[in-house]
Amino acid sequence: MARPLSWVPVLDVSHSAVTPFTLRQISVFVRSHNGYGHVLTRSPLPQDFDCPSWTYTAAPIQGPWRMPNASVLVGKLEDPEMDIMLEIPANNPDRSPALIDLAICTAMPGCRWIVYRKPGVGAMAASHAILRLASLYPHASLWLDQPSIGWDLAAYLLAADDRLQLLHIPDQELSQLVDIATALQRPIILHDFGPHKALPMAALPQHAFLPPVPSSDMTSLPVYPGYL
Amino acid sequence: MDTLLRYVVEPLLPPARPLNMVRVLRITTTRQCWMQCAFCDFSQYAPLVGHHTASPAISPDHIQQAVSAASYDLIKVRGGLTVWEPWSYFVQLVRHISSQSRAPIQAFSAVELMHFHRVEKIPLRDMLDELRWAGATSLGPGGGELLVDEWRETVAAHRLRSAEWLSIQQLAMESGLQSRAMLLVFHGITPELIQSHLHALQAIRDLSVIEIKPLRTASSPMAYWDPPHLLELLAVVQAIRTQWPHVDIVMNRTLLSEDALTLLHHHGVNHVYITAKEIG
Ligand code: SF4
Repeated sequence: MARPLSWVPVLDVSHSAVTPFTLRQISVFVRSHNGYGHVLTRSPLPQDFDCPSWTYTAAPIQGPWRMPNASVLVGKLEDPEMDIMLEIPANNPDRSPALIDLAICTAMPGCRWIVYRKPGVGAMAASHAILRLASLYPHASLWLDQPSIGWDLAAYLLAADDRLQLLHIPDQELSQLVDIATALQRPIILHDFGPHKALPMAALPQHAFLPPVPSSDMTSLPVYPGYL
Repeated sequence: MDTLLRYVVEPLLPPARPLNMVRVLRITTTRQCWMQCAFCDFSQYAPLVGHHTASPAISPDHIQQAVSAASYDLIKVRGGLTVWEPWSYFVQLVRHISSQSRAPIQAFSAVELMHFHRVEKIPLRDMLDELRWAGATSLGPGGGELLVDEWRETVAAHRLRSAEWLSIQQLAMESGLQSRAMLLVFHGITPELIQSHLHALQAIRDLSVIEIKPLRTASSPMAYWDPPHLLELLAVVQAIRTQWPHVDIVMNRTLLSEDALTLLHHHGVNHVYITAKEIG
């Protein structure tokens, strides 16, 4: 079966500190996505707070390295065409300094590479860079930042390499992912980076072959409604 | 056959041909049409008798300044179907435009020719010769959206049939007008429809231009129908390129993102219409 396309609902609250209001916002977000959701935050969430998956975007080197359901943004790799953010699961208790060595991170299980297209980079250069990256690191978990990649290039890249996935898809643009899935005949699954099992999305609505036009409208001669 | 149009991934190699940007002056003669094609924004009831609400078609004075003010690579004259002005009026209009500009003129389409042929009983060949005399260089592709009669009867029942459209293109070429084909692409278009259309186009000798039109239905009866997805457009370009490696494939720049344009160019689109000015 074709590899499914991922829909990971993401809420970014990394612009402010975590307050009771932020926690409430996160709960509402997760509840409105059927219990799934991934949150970006720059301060750790309380231990007793129930969040299916989140990324700590500003973890200090000596920070807490064991947080349930959390990942840590460990750094950025740069390339003329793209930026690559590396995230690793925050489950290593020994706070080893090796954790911030990017070369080692890239080989860690569970490491996510989030690829951002740099502004002004053309579709051809960006796609070559991304597909080259995918072929050089066949086992890396590569996620494309949808807003910077754009839907048109994303469609081509997902068609070109089925290991690529999209991240940071705005909810209101989900129909674009559905269109790509339809064209590529791939199912969509709703998930996050937490322990929950992925949820397959319902079958997509399809257009009928021909639009349902009442035949009397189309076979009679047009008459101005004012004369009827 | 698979009912889904499949795009087969191609690596992005340097394009075989450069992308030619064509600056177009678009002249719309009238925005009303009695023909009610479901995919067209002009398809609305127009009264045939009594108190006219149909406004007259565009006048030569109206276009004078725009035509001579700038240089264009192509002037397109098109519009809905009016029963207000006679055929001779439109021939004079084309004549007027050609006297003001040296740009090639794509004037009307098989749909207008068939309409006036029926209404005024003028032989088609005479109408084409008149257009040529007036200064037109090509006949527009209108009416050739999808040359599949079953589809046409459902969404555009009053239009000319595929065979009629094809014969008019052939006559146009014999009169010295360049013939242009088109392909309307909508979301969910099937490989059968595309293949039937491309097969029908084989009847045109020396076909040199195919214009791909993505369905845009903002205010037409088919407004609920989605435009095609980029992967569908790429698949259509591939289907055309397989049959006609050397034909010019044209698309309109409007509503295409920079990325979409790059991808389409790499797959074989080599002309892009940019609307430099629009009148009417
Ligand atoms: S004949 Fe042309 S202008 Fe008239 S409704 Fe059909 S597509 Fe529109």
